[in-house]
Amino acid sequence: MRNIMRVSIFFLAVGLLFIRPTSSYASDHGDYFSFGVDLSVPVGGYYYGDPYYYGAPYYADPYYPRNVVVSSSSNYQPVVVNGVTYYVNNGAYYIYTQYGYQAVVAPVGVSQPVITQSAVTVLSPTTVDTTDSFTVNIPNDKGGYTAVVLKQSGKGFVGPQGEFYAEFPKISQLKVMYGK
Amino acid sequence: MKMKILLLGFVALILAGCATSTRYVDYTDQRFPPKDQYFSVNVYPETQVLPVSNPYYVIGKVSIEGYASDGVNPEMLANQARSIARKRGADAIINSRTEIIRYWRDALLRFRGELIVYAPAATK
Repeated sequence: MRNIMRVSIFFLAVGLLFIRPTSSYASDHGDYFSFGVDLSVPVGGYYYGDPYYYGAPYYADPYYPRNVVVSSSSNYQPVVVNGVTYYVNNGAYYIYTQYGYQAVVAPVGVSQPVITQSAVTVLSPTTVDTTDSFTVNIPNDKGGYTAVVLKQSGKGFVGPQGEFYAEFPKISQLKVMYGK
Repeated sequence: MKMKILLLGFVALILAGCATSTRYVDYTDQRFPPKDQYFSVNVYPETQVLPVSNPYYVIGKVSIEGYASDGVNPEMLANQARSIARKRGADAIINSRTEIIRYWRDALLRFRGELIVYAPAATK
């Protein structure tokens, strides 16, 4: 019995070496295997689109049960136009079919959402970040990108013109100043 | 008895050391034939909206995450997503984003994207 106790304490001690923050994803969705104890507090989050674009913070989607076919997603907001239910996601319109969400042309009478970029080619990685500065490529009016360097200042960020952002600015915010 | 506990402990430690976690959510119960390993899956950031002139179906979404301290980087997550897309028979990944959540001594990287299948000519 004493040996079992010793072995258990040994693994507990070793396990403590592996303590790391449990992802918010796990806590939000509850369908992840997670080993470890959540002792840390996230100090900030941001994302960049794969992996060439930085943007604003976003939040986890609602929980979906595991192994259940999902026929709708919170990302797809239903819109009924002329009796037809469309789903809008990231500015694009979809109808739900047996094959999933089918992209369709926006229905007549619905104002077109602002599409930030309609290219189909993936650019080479152009985003560079260091510990204190982040380079964000902003789509400009010429069809290219303008590199904007943001420096971390306390809990916020400072832009090239000295402007201060309390949180990591959205692309739309930066585009107003640097997208021309 | 002691050996069993030791074995159990080591298994737990090995599982704890897994570099990434993956989750896939189906939007449909349809299944598509997997692509071969050489099929090139394009990954489009959410800023790039595909033209509707090339119709497609969104068949599901994938999420992969891992810690920077385990050597995980955005490119690795994207490549894993491509691998999953091939297995699911997807042609490309859209609305992709990679989130980095910094902790005081580590960073959690999380890739998200949606798998699409281009509509066959008959349904265009």
